[in-house]
Amino acid sequence: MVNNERLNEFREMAYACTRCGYCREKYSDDVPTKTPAFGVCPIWEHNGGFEHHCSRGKLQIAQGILEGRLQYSEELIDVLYTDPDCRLCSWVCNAEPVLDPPKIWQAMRQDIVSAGLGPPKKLKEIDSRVKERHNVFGGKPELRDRWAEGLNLPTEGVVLYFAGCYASYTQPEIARSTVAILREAGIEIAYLAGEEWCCGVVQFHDGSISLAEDVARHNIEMIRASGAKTVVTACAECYKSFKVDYAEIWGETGFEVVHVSEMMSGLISEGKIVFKSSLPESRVTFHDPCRLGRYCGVYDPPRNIIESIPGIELKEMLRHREYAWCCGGGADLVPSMNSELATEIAAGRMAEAKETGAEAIITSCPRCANTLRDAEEGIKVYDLSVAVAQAMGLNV
Amino acid sequence: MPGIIVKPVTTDEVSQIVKLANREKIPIVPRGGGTTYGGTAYSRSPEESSLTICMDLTRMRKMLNINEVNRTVTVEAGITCTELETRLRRRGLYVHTVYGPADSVTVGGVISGVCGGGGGQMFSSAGNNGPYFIGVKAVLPNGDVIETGTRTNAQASMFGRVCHGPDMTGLFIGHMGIFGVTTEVTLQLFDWPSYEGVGGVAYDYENLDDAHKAFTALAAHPARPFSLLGLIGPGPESIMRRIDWTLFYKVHGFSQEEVDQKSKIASEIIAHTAQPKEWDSDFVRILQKRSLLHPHDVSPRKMGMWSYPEPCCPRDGTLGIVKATLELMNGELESWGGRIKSAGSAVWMHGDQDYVSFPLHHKESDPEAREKALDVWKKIIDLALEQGANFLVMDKHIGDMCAARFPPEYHDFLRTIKKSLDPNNIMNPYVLLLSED
Ligand SMILES: Cc1cc2nc3c(=O)[nH]c(=O)nc-3n(C[C@H](O)[C@H](O)[C@H](O)COP(=O)(O)OP(=O)(O)OC[C@H]3O[C@@H](n4cnc5c(N)ncnc54)[C@H](O)[C@@H]3O)c2cc1C
Repeated sequence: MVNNERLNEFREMAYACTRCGYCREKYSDDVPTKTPAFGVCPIWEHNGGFEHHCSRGKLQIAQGILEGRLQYSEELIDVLYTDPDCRLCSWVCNAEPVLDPPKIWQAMRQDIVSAGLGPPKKLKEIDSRVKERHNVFGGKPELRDRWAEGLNLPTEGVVLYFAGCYASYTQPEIARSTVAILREAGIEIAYLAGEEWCCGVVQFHDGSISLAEDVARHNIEMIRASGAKTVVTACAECYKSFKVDYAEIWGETGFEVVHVSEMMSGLISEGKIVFKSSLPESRVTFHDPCRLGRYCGVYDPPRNIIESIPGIELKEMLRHREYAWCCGGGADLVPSMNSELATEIAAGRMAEAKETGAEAIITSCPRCANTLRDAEEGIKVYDLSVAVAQAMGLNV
Repeated sequence: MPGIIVKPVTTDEVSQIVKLANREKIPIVPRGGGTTYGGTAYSRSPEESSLTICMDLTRMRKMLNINEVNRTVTVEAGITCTELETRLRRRGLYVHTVYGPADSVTVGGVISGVCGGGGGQMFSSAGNNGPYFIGVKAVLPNGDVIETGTRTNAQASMFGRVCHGPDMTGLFIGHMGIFGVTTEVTLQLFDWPSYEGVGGVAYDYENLDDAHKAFTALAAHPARPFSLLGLIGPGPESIMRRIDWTLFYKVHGFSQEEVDQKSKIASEIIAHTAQPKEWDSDFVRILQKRSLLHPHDVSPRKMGMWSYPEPCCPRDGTLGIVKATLELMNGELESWGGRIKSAGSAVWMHGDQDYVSFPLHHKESDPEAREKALDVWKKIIDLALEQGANFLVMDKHIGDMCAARFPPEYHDFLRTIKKSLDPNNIMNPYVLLLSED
């Protein structure tokens, strides 16, 4: 029996939709798209265009649940989890704080988990890995800080680098590049070594909130113990967990969190980051990660950085900044529910990148990079830190 | 709720589905953007479940043909109004669609769901869009595909509406899908007058009569210079603070001189009819900004759920209906301040009629307020019908209320046409009291 405790907290929001349908597709003068209408919901667009996949339809579902007209069936749960929570609908709806649809799905998923009906299998597996091994991949905890071998990083310091699971286990070049850049700019960097745990992003979104809180609490305690006043991360998902979710639960944590793009952009203006080289590609585009952009409002710093790399021209995709199309990978929700669908969404994004004539796509989220790379070969995908380190001529 | 959802891509697919549904006697409700005010009916009552097909036309969204010489554009019915308008605008062209949530509203939904075919950005000067629809391709309830207008000559293109007998395009305007599924629509093309200007004046709260006098004088100008002409003012005093009446107009032209000339006409008529309290109030400036920036962004998203009783009035009856409605709302909503909000009232020139709106808002999470708002909404519709007004945006609720007042002979006439086209009563059978005995 589902008690709808969390959904009830969002009751007013669940009824706030006026059903205009702009969360399915929208036209905006701000977005010079080729077709004037552009998709708003990647799931609606790539999953047959059925109403229950867009926010307007899902809000009706939420009302049905609240009124007891609908029950959480397997199909319904599937629908509620097959969503990257990318927030393009929130942006287009423009009704915050009255309405911010993904908050409602997140509440419903928490109710589903409380009732023992979820999360679905693959997400549950991720949860188990995070619970037991503190990372989304199930990698050995003792290997978490292997990326830092030979770097002699202290575990105490004012500025602390939080690597996240991807940079720790599958894309160590991001961690090594980030540290190299910041050190070159004269910043002393500390890290949590094996005491860094997953930030909990998947659990914040899949409804396993007590696990999310456990890992978050651990990370906060460790960071406090390190004496850090600033935490820097190169992962958009970790950044969002700290900036939005940790802040929502604990308020003041005693340290500031910055995304590496914000820090690097500042260091470039101060003349502390100097580019001695460039990238092999001369024309690049930037993919805004949903959790960096629409969740945290960081749009300019990555662009400032790219534009300051000598010999590089930044070509924007048709849908960029607030209107950026999701890569499909957000919080591993869609890839876990329907990997083909995630790949299809990412392929659409890659096609949009290619249309700019760019030879490479730069992003500042390892999960986005991963999803985009999985979708298509033939156009190089850089993480921002990796691109910057390369353009600085650093040997990582 | 519908039991089956289909999303055809071609007229042929529509026809096949309709044939099958007709054979199996399964009702079909066509659907465009799904934005019609009061929803559709997939069964006789919300409690009754039924194996109804929802036919979603939004995958049929091609722009098929633009003929700048014949001044026509032919589109598939599921194209959104914004997509069509924007594509045309890039060529300096224009068609009449809607002012409303055009990003979701489809051309097929407007022509079928709004009597007269809706009202667009030239709402006041053009009136109903009806005259500017040239022809349709429609799938009849037996699955046959027909075209109207000049296409009744199989050798001809679709370039004219009235020929070879009765105007059958009209049968598919405002029919709510009861006579079939419209799959293609041909609309008349216009050049887009890209210069625009707005202006307005304010009359005192107490001075509705003067404001209305000026409004009527402006509306009577034979050249219909105003693309939008509205009188925007207070709602019921019991739930809304007093505000002035604002007479607001928007003009379009092919040059700045034309725009200035039209604006001058407005000032002169106002000066000769009823002196306003203010010529350029703050509210006018707000309207100017909003109206210029976002003509389509009229969805009241931050204000909560809306119920908009919107009667279309004969101009000589408008003032009486506005006063009676405000009085009714005032009494009905006496103790509802805070739970039901009014966004004021508005009278819009709509060709030779006036389109009047009394926007009310409530929180859907407050069931009592919802009930009350709905009750007041119904009472206003009844009052307006009683006083000789009509309603354009057709949905299940308004449609049933209007149909309840049809003279029996007219209702029989409508049922006879419906029965001969749709003997199995499969096309949107639960509206306009067509299925009632
Ligand atoms: C906030 C708001 C503002 C609005 N402003 C305006 C405005 O300025 N001017 C105006 O004219 N209208 C306005 N409307 C009304 C809106 O244009 C109409 O309700 C229109 O019918 C909606 O089109 P749709 O595509 O959403 O149709 P739907 O709501 O999906 O359908 C409407 C009706 O038409 C039928 N139908 C739909 N497509 C077809 C088809 N292809 N063949 C046969 N039958 C079909 C449906 O069965 C239904 O009965 C507004 C509505 C809203 C919510």
